[in-house]
Amino acid sequence: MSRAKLYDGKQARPIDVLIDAQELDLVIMTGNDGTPLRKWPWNEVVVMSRPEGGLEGVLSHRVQAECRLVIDEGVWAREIAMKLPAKNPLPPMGGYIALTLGALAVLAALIWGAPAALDLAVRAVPRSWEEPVGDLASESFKTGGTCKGSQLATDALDRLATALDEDKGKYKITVVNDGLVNALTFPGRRILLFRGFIDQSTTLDEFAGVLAHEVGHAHYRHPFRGFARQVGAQVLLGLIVGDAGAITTATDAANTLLMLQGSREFELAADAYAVKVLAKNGFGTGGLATFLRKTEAANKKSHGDLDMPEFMSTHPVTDGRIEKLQAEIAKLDKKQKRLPARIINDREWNAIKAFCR
Amino acid sequence: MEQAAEAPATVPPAAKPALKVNRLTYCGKTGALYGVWVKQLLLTIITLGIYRCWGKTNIRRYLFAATELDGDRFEYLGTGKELFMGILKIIPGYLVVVGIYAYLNSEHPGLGSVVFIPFIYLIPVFMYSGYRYRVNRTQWRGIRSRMGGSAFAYGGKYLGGMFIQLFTLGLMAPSVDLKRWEYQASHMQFGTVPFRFKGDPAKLRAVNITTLLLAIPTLFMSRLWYKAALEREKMRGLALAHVRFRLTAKAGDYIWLALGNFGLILITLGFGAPLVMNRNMHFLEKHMALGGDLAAFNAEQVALGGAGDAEGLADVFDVDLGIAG
Repeated sequence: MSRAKLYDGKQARPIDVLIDAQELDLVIMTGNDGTPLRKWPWNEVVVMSRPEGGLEGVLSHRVQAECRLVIDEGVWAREIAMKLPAKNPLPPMGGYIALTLGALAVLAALIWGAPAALDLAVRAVPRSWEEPVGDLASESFKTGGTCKGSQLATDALDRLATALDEDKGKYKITVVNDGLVNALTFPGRRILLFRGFIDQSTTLDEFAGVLAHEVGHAHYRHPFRGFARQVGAQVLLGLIVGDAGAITTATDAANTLLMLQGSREFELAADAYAVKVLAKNGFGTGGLATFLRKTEAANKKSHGDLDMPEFMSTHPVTDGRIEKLQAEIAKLDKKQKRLPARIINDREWNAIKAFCR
Repeated sequence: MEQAAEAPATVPPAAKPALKVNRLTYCGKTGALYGVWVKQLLLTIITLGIYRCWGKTNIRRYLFAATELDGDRFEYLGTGKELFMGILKIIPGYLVVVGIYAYLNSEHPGLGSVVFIPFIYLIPVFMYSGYRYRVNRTQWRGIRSRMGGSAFAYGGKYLGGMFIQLFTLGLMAPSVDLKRWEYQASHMQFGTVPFRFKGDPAKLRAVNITTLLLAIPTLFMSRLWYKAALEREKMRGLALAHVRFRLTAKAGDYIWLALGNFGLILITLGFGAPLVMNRNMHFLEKHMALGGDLAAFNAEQVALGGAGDAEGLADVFDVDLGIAG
């Protein structure tokens, strides 16, 4: 028999008790005269905390769940420990290894499987739903004002974009009065062409090459898929890592890399698409490569020779990208030698060139 | 001098009975805590985050059970299921916010932050309900602590306080901050015994004004001294029956704690999280004291479902924003 403290769950004052660890039961009695208070069969005793580091052990009871019996470390070792199921030792190393492998497998499945799963989900969304999103998103890029353009030029642009689209979708093309040498595609087949890009396009092949690349983005629904991936990655990583402090920084980095990977993949897919549709519509396939080389040279001039490693860039480094483009062209050239007639004539091309004048 | 001490010239006033000082003892072991932490991390990844609620609960159970006051350990009564159900309720809102944020940011870098404007009100709401959840799941000597009050009312008060601060350029900070704490403290009880709080903003006035004046040249670092003084005042004015509270942490202690924690997380790429938890607990152990005879203190249990469950949304959001989590 030993002394212990009993908290009955009704008040915070301890009751001094005597405990008797019998064969079948743990008997709890008043400390002064040994009047039995509680009788807990061992199989109903619940271990709340084991004694460790100078702290006492705490027992409770399955039914009298509010009771706490506080037992000194020495008494626990002498009388209680052997009546209880053995303390779980540290989980076996094998368990941790299995968990680690499982976690790695899940991470790998996420990195490779999640984009595909999201793409499937995106396919279920009707294209028309993208349109208001595209309108809204493209609005802020029009701060430089838009160019009206002649009827001849607008008709030619619309016809060209639809012709370059394998689905023959209807496009909304806006020319922004801004010197930026760029073109952007938004959800819902919305394309913005910047005046700088039109000015820099010396040939119709270059112009059509870039436009075909943008149509490729729209054809594969890249803007919407990219958006879905970003949301998906953020939600998923947020759920997994949650508020685990600094790990979130690592997640941000992983998230960004994932996005860059997506955009690299998208750029290359749009390039390949462009080569395919350009030839079908009577355009030279080298225009896109020529234009890329030209802008790269201009960039180097303005930014110095600051080469970024390929994986860090949203747009693949042009050298690598042009190589891949040329490989696509070579593949195509084997199949198709004669070009059909161009769908845009010189008069229309001149009207497009003069869009912002 | 010694002689003078032995034979005082005047009769000393009747000695005030010395207040018994009780300290928290934290006996957590790094190895054991790592076991709990690594297991929850791996299971969290495998279950795509679902296990996190249970993992977080296991960590809290460990930290509470390793903390002792006057010979008795604390207990954390929360369950993973409660946290999980809470998260299920907020997931739709979370998805909408993340969606809008990601969308706006992908199209107009920086603009996504607009979605966080409503959070000026919601963050104190979450803070309150998270704190209330933890208070309501804390037990010592077999008696649960309780916290009621309305998180939304607190959010409103918080927002009101912000406007007052804005218009008075921070001069009213001590009153505003202590009023907020008063709302929390006056809704807390240990069993049947309510906590009381009576703070004195005047005690913070000098440190508030000095650190406000120095705020700009020190890039607001000076405000840490005010924050530390505020935390001390919050504890100084708190009472539970005859038991008083005292926090001794100075600004330097908080800075040292935060820098150390930050460094640990950085160097270990996040895998030092259990070390940080241990540090936080040792910080409390070192700087927190309760005055009064705890053996003479008594409280009776309050039935579950009583005070504190009045609000339907009670305890849904359990957001960790405090240092000890």
